[in-house]
Amino acid sequence: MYLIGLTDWEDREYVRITTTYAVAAAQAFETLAPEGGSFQFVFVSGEGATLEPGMFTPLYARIKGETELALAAVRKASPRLHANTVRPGFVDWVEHDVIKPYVSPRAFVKQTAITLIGPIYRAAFPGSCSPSQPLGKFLAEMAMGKWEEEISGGSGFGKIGEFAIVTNHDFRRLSGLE
Amino acid sequence: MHLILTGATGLVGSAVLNAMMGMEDVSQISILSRRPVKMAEDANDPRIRVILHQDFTEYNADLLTQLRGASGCVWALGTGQNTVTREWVAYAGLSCI
Repeated sequence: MYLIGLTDWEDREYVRITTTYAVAAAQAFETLAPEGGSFQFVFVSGEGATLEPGMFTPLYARIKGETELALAAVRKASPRLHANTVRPGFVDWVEHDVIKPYVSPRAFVKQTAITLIGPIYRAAFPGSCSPSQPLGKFLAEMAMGKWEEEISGGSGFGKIGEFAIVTNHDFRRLSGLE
Repeated sequence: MHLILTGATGLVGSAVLNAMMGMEDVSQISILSRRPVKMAEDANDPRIRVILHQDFTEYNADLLTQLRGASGCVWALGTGQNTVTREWVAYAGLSCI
């Protein structure tokens, strides 16, 4: 019972941090849009996020998907809020020297895992990697509206209404990584 | 261009902040964060303002005044590198077996 209770609490906390915060912010930032203009809201989701969770869908994948749906609803209700999402894969910072001093893996185990498995993972699943430097650039450009025409006009993107879901593959393709 | 960033102490947020600092079109970067952002402090870039914010369910008029003029936001808060890492370690681990 204790474990179940704890898991419930963790779930609720995860939902609060992921969904509630993002939706509240999107609604508040909509008011920043200038008259006749728009506000770009870029939600960083993750590869694996799903709008149709099954019994074995991990928590983060379900909640990120729910957040995407909630933000799509905000966009629908507030047309000036141009909310979209990007779903990065394994965020790889190995070649991104300038951010290294600020990336502090909380656990030694994790650091070791990344050091040992990182190269194998990169070789085995190159398409699932999101090199942090181009990812940061892409997300910043999304917030500047630089990709809006391409993405809102493009047919190759998953969408919930006008809310676009940019997959890791889309990000890699648009960034010239493949 | 004035942009908002959350999750700036995390991995994705650090990468975004680094990218924003490198863009000439960016005139102001407002970071909403619970705690000080070391990368922003070290950068000493006059365009960056870290706004310490505790309750991410509330955005009052005073805060919105500070954010006025912003035209976009990267929401990298709670991206959960933990969970993602756990996921790919499990995935990679399985693929090795």
